[in-house]
Amino acid sequence: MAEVIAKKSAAPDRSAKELEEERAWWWVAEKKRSPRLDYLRKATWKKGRRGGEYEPGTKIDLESPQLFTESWQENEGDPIHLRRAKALTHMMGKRTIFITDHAQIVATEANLPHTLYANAEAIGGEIYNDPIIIPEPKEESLQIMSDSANYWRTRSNLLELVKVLRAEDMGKFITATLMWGLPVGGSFGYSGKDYEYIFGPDQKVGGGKGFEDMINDIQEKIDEAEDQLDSTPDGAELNLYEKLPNWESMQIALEGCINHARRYARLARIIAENFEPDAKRKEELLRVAETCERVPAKPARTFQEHLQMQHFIQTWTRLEALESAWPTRPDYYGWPYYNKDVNIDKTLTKDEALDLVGESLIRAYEMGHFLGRGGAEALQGIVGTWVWTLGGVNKDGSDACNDLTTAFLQAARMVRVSNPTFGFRWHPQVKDEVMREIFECIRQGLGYPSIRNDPVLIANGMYWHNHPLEEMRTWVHQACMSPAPTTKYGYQPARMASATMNAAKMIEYALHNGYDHTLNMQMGPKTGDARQFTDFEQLFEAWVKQMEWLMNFGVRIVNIGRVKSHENWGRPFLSGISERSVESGWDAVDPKSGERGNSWITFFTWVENADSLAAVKKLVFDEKKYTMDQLLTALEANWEGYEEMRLDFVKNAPKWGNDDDYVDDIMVRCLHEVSRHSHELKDPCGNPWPVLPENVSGNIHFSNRVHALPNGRRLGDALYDGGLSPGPGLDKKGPTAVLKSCGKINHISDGRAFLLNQRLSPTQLAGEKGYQLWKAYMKTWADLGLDHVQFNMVDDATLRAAQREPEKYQELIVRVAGYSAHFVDISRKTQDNIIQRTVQGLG
Amino acid sequence: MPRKKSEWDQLKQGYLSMQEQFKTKEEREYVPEKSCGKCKNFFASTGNTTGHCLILKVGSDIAANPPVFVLDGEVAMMSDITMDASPCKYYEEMELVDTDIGEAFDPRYSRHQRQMMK
Repeated sequence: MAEVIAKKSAAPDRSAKELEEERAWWWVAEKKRSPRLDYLRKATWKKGRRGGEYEPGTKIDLESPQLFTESWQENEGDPIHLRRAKALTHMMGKRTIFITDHAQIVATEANLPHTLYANAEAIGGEIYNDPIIIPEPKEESLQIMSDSANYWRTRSNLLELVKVLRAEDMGKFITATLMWGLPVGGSFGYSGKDYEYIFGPDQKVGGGKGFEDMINDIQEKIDEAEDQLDSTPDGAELNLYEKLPNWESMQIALEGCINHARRYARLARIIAENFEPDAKRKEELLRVAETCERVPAKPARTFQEHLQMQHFIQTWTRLEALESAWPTRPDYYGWPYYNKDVNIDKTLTKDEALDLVGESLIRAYEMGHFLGRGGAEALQGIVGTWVWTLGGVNKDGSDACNDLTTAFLQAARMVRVSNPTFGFRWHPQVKDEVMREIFECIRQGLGYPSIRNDPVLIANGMYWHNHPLEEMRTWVHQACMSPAPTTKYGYQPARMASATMNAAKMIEYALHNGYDHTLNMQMGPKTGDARQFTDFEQLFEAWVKQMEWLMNFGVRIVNIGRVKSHENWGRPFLSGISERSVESGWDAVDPKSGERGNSWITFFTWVENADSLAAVKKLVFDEKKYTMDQLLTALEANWEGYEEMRLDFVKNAPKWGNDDDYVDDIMVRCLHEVSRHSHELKDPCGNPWPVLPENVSGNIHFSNRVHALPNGRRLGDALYDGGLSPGPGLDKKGPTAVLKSCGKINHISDGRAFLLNQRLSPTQLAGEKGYQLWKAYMKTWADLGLDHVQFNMVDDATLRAAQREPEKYQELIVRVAGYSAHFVDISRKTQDNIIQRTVQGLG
Repeated sequence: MPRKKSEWDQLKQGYLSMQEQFKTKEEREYVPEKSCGKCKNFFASTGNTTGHCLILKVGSDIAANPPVFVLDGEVAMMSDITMDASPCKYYEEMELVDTDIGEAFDPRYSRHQRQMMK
């Protein structure tokens, strides 16, 4: 078997060392990984869109939504949570399952290797209209989809929310110009998990709970409730009528997942006992069967069982709510199992464990659901931002890095998937050997891990959301960037993508009296005719009003979306694995369940505000080189006919990222205003809404929805790529100046986190000298108190070559922003934007 | 006194009825020779088939006989890629430059819906 699959390698006929010298890392990986891992890596289908379109051959899974709808129709009279649990369970009890050859971890989001999962209610509209993914026979599929669309057209979760939104808010929201995503966090959100309940608080094998334990916990609550209902009514019993079906729905969903796992166990056993001629593979299949008979029903005992348990949980939460993030901390929660199998019992060799870790990354990469074009434009090449958290500290503050941390970093270099990626929680105790592993991932062009400043972010979570120190130390990336604990009251069950705002609109509207020249509509408040402004303070005052308006508008929509989520959708599975829901009987997404709150507003296109304000201040009000009338006339014309003037605004106005106090002070002042207002805004849990500037690829998505700006940008030009990153090519004073500018921000109280992209030279950072240069740079980064940095280390020549001959560079990975993608999967505009980023020379 | 319906209320009502409309497969497949989706003045929402007009405002009705064109107001008219634009005097055929939707990535210059590719 191994010989057969090994022959499939396409690696050039050169040694790994020679390929390393050429920095042909994708071929190096192929040489170094096992034949099994090589097969698995190549056997996966890409689930992200290539640019804006799916790969030929990718199809929508129509079986799942049909089964879901079948049950939904049968249970018309049930409360919504019960109905959802029954429909999910029905779907997963009947749906096609498969086991990939050589796989030891099983379960996927859709029914077949090449299909994409979709919510039943989403089958009409955008999916129906897609040019690629309609399965054959096409006419039959279209008929099924049309019928389904007609059934769900009056029943959709989104429509229910639209009905309650204020008309003006709704009308502005659907322009898709001010915000990104849908305000239905319970059904499309980024759900954290209560890992302390699932895997136990003490990091030990057998310390967690199996689903049967959880079902028993719920049964105790049901029994208590029934007793209460039998006793003298005093009014306190009334909410039990709502809680009882919730608890029942949790049990049904958990039982459904156990049953789903056992279907895999049965399939693996059938293949092993009847069809598998290879003795080693037969043994693997029987182990898969044993694993799926054990988990998730009972707690894991081995490393493989632990990985499989994680995978079932992640699969089911995606089936339930199309989760587009993957908050997890695999080295921390997996360590007891790894340590027992590899170091204590020695039932698993290090290489075998490494293979399993690599497979877990591949299985995650394989997950895929349909992503609408609006979502896909800002998440080019991937399905969601699956940032797995590594490193960090234990609850007592000691270093949490272990052999499994290293294994994940090594496995990533061998399988080279673009999703999941890692965010590494750096802290002063991290050992040099771990830093070298991290650097090697970056040097080999993965673009990850991103580096997070653990002490700063722990303090940040305590400052904004009052998470206790010990809980905050458990934090994981809730999506790309925002830290959230994994504890009973600290974990966040839903974060809505639509708490994402197109922040460049603040300066645009401040200059145009709230009028949107891309839409030809009055969108923001009327804050005065900027032609009449006589000093910078008047412009800044208008900017503050537009900023407050935009944040108010977005939060108003997201708050109501969040509160309505559990009424219109419900998360019985997620609730069943959440201690606070099991205890309280409230849905996990329902703020009544006791969530502490961990909200944040993502600011796309943020940095343009500082650069634009600085440009107006300097060239109009300070130097009086132009009048406001001249500037606004040029902007209204999208700079057409004003090229010389535009270049003056590009070249001679100060730009963020050069350690220039003129513009840096404006950035800090803007953030202080934002931070002040963040404290005034409250989420449904009563917590503030701090901001988190970053872009994923929203800087491209919104490029045609932000009009010309005073930093010299024209309508259609890409916006800046990061949350703190200077404009591409505009940081001219070197890497330390970038860090110093970013260091003027308070990374605890000014916002939740700030994304900084940097490009480094692979030539300069070769060898030991390169590592030492990078380490010195990281020390400056840490000393200045920045919370985030991530790197691209691929040279221009390679990127240009990949544009010319994409077929030769299928595995080339780049860091976009908050996530990584295969270079060939992002649009030309995004590719160019990455190439334009300044390559920083260190030292 | 009940609150007077605003232009935004009209837009919301129009949007909801578009979303809730029953459509046969044949109706979903039909794209008129001149449709809003092929017009320069159609500003697509990202992804789905709806969008709004950059010229006409709420209260316009290009399907009426004679068509009603409202140019004043703060709120744009909602539309759909398959809406028949032949009666509209503001219709301007656009060149769809982004044929593989990987180049410009601009909803204005590409229409990636299957029905528009026929």
